[in-house]
Amino acid sequence: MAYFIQLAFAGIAQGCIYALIGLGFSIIFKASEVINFAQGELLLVGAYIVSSAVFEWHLPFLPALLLGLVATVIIGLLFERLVLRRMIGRPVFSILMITIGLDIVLRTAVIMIWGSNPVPAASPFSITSGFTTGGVHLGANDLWTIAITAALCAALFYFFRYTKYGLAMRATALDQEAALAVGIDIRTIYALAWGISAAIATIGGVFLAIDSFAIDPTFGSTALIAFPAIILGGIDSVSGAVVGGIVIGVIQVLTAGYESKVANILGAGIHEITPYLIMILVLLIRPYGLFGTRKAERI
Amino acid sequence: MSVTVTSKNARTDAQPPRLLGNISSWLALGIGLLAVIIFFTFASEDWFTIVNFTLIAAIATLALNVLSGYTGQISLGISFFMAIGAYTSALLGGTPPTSPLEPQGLGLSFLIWIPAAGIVAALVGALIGPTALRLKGFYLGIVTLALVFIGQYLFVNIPGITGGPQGRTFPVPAFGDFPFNQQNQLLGVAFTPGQQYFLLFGAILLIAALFVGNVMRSRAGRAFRAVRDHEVGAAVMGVNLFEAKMGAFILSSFLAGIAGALFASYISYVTPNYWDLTLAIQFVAAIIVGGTASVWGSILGAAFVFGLPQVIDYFSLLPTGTAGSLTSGNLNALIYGLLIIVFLLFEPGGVMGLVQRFQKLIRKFSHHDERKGGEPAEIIDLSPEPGYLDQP
Amino acid sequence: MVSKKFLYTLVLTLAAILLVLSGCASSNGSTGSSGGIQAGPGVNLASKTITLGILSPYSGPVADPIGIPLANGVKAYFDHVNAHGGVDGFKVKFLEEDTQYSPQLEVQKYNQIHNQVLMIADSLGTPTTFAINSLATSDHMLVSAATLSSELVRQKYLILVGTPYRLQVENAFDYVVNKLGIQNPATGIIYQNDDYGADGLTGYKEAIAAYHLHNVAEVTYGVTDTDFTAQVAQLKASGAKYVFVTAVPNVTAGIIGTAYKLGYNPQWILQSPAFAVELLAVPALKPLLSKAWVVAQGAAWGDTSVPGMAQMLQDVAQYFPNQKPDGYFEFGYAESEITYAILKKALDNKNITRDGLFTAFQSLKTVSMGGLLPPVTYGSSPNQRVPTRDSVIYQIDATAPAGIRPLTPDFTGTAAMQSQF
Repeated sequence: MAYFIQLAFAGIAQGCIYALIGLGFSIIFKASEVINFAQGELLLVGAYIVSSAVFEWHLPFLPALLLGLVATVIIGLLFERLVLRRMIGRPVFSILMITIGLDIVLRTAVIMIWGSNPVPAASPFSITSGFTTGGVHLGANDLWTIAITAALCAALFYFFRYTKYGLAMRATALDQEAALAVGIDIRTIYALAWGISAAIATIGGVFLAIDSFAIDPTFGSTALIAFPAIILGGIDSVSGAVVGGIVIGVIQVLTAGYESKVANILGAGIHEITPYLIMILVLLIRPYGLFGTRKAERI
Repeated sequence: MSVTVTSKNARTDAQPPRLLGNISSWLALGIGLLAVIIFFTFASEDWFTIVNFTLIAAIATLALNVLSGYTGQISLGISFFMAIGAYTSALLGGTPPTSPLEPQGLGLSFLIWIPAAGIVAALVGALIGPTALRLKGFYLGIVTLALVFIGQYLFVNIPGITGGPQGRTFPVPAFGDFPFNQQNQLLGVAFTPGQQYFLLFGAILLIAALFVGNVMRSRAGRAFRAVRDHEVGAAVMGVNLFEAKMGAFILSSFLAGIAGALFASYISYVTPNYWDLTLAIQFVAAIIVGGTASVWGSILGAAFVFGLPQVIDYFSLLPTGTAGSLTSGNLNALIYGLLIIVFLLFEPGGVMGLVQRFQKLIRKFSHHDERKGGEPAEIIDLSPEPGYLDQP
Repeated sequence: MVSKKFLYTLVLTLAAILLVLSGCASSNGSTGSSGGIQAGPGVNLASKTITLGILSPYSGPVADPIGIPLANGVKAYFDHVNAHGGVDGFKVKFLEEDTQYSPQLEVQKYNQIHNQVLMIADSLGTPTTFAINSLATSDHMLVSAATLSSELVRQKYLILVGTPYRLQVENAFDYVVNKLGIQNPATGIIYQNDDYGADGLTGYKEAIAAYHLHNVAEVTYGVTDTDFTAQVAQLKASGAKYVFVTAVPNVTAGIIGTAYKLGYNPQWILQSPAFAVELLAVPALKPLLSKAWVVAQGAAWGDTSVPGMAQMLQDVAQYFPNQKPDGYFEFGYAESEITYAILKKALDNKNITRDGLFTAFQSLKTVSMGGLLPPVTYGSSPNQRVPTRDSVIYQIDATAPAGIRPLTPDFTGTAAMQSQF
């Protein structure tokens, strides 16, 4: 039983990280209908900068985190301003590919600047900090991940519901032209979306790095799992991204924890594809996800 | 009743487009053939390797173009279909196992396993096709992405066919006792392995390109494009969406399967990890850089993405192993990513788009004097033939 | 629709390109004989140089940790040889090509250089080396493989240059059972889900039978996994006291760190690629790692009691002053002794053609490794083509130059000695 709870807890924490990455995807998609394939590498860059800041420039953790946030937000904003602005109205495929291009550029830049050796991950906690109850260890990192995710969700919920810019973003997501007509500055909205998204990605990346103790340039590929998460939750729903992320995280970790018992039938490594299997299932049954809005298509 | 229309372009307007319609295209064909023959005779093995890989890549790029370029179905999963084709070829053509630990193989001829690779991949494509009916755009893209990962899981866990995580060898095409990877004599002329493979891959590419080109100029091709441009409009006009999308998937998977089999055969030893997302993305980059919805674009795109970096490396424009990570490999990857961004930003039609723009420019300059006035008006005689009112 | 004029222009351009390409024929090394020496490709009798090939990743994720240091080791060795008269007067040069750890690029680069080199002195990676296996066979080209896969011994022209991964695992458990005297220990393995991991698993299974291990857990992880709670929790629940880790360094970090977090501290035994000295830079891991062992081979960096070490350190200072202490560098440096021995024997036979090198290799018997590694022995059957079956168990030690300090001398366990290939 303790085994199960330990796995479930780890799954929730991992799921929160997927949720954060998924939130990043979701916000950009809500605002500008763009899927940002480069989210994983923004995560990577953020984690690397925080690491360098702590270990090479000897900054304390929070200023380092701030530095990482600022850097990735700037990259996100620059990309949005210089590249995506010109891609408005282009087919989905092209926009997807251009973010893939950014993905490649960022990862190669990281390899060129930091090399491909593993780099220590910056962490404000010691390994064993946290509580242990009933044979289950609740690590400080995991607890903080869950807490921060919850806080961010609440903040975003409030932002979208009650603040001027949040409402403006939702309006833009609904209908760009109408939003323009009402006087909303689309450019600011896009910039805001990318900035928030990049910041959330970095936070997720830092938590993931703490979990992994050492990071290398292939670190960003975890972000791909966020796709099943947001599809499960509904691509344009903030709460959906979180629920989707947590469900995927829990199922993935539980599968990994029990799969050797069925290794004779299922072979090795099924936990790597369970998120995708779930996603396909969801798409077949409920294509808009658990919380997504059904879209009426205008001909 | 007859209508006589006189105009300068009557001939090309009225007749269906032909590949080799006039003198200049025959001339082009002749020169191209001559160049290929000269290359064939004098180039060294290393160039053949680069060109051969590009030829195979061109087949796969063509496959992806059929699905994504012409029919607009976003697919990130081409490596999955290539893998299916490759493992089919291995199962049918691989050397029979000498111990229970070795993967299966039936030792059949390449004349069987190459088409079979395509057919089995096409069947799998037919299975996946219906999902495209229910999903669009990004969702379809992510499902095809999922295919790649699910595929890798499957391949690792069926060692009897794939060799498991250790991988396996793949069959070499051969005419009886004369495998293509050795020097062989035919009618007294010696052919190197590179040349033999070149002939095989070139022939397959030629057939595939002609076939795809023809399909795309036919009614089916127009249906594909209609589906890409406006699905609902196409359905309203009478295009059977199911047939069109299934057709695109089947054709695309067929070609991808063949390309996968050829890739695996040429590399000779592949582990299941080879068929990954990175490979699929290279092909997506190829159709974008080369030009979507274009046969020549597919070939050029493959040349750019698979051939050009190797050509740059060959001439050692950058040092290979300098310290400090500014190696030619890293710089190549950086340029590759930047090229994708730049092409998409400024020339979404890819290289073919650039070429067409260039063409228009040339046309503008060579016809500039005609801007002063239009062509003289044409006389169209609508008068009925004498006697039409006379009923028999 | 594209006009004929354009087609014409395009074809002309392509034709021009193809003509240029066909004009660039690569040069063959001069073959023939002079002074009674038969020479093959890559040999220049006039200037007395032999060119060897290196096919290794110089860019991408594997370059910095493994590819570049290993190649540097090979180059450093021959820099030294060249400075001291070469091999019987012949200087050795290298054609290095970046494979980016891709089998397709390895095949391409091999075809690019194969007519210009006499032998491949360093081919990194299992899938990549096997991709050129059939090409090397038809070229009669010897390939010194920089990977420890067991499958290499069954391939005629591929040279395995160290103790294979499989035997590393067996030797590790020989240490636990025979040297430490622990009978029937509860053991487990965590391995990567690819060819490397499969090798470790095979060795583990042989070890279970040979040493009567109490196998309680066999856990795998995927290359893209970042969270290892499930795997570690499984190991913990199984109660394994000795866990073998067939992984890569950043995964090792995750596994050991997560285990400690969960309060699970077995004896970790790392396969040689699972450890990288950079891990000791992670402050949280340093105390944890110092209890773990690494199975590898070779003298500890800086241990000048070993004959060849002083020379190697000198060569590092002279030719690669920026090279930090690195096990892969040492491996590349030491493995070059075998390449040297082959070249020397072939020159003694006055036959430095490809076949001459092969004959020399077949007749090698024992090669001294200058003390950095124990002497290696080659024969002709697969079992005999395993050059060494011994390992050293190291303790991870942050104060040692390369991060590891030997716990045992070089030894070959009973299972490793009897293992059939």
